[in-house]
Amino acid sequence: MPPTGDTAFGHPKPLVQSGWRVVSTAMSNEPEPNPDSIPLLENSSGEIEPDVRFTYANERTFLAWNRTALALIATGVIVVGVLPKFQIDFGRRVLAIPMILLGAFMSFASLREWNANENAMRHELPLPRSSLPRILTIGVVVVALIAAVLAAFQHGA
Amino acid sequence: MYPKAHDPDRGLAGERTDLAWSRTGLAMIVIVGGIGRRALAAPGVLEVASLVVVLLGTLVWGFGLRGAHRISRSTATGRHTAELHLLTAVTVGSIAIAIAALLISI
Repeated sequence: MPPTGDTAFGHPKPLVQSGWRVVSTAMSNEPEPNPDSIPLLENSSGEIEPDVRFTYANERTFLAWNRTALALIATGVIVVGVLPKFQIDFGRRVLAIPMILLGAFMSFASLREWNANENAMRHELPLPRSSLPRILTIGVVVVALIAAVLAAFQHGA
Repeated sequence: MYPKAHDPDRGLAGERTDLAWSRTGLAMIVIVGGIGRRALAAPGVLEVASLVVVLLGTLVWGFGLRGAHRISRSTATGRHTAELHLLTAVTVGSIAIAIAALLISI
């Protein structure tokens, strides 16, 4: 990625490395170039270097999903290590293993989603719709239903 | 679509991202500690295997964290953001933690 430096006025000025060129210094909705606008950079593949705030937001979203994945894995470990034994065989594992697997999947899927968003931004395309909230919801509902069934058997015994 | 060069949020966005990395690192430390404690409490073959996996995962994860932290510190005026290989390291580390968790839960 191209580095930038500060001008005498404190404005970021791109120090364009090989492979990148300045394509515009105007905001896309402005009729005339604005010297205060951040220059757009483009590489030979036609990729645009997006506004850093958007790439940061994408990175933070990736990290937030990763924390969610770690929380799911931690909950799985706690279920096996802390909860008392169920009256059904393997009851704790039936609860814990789906949570750990869901956590691993969420971590992997968040990387794919970060990459898809990054590519969309670099080609000025609409961001793809995220499937992670739906997957998380379905996973948590399934685990909750398993827990409810286990609890019902526990109560009736 | 693109912001003014004076926009202070460019720097603050980097700071928020740096904090997000720290929060994720803390979450990682807690879960690694939990798995390690559980594995050491009753060491068997699976527990030792989980310890090895969790240590390797933590190393890979730490590589991603260190690289991303260094990059986010250089972004106050620049446009450097985390790259695919760093985030891949984080994902591999998290999946290793999940494998270690499975090993001690089986």
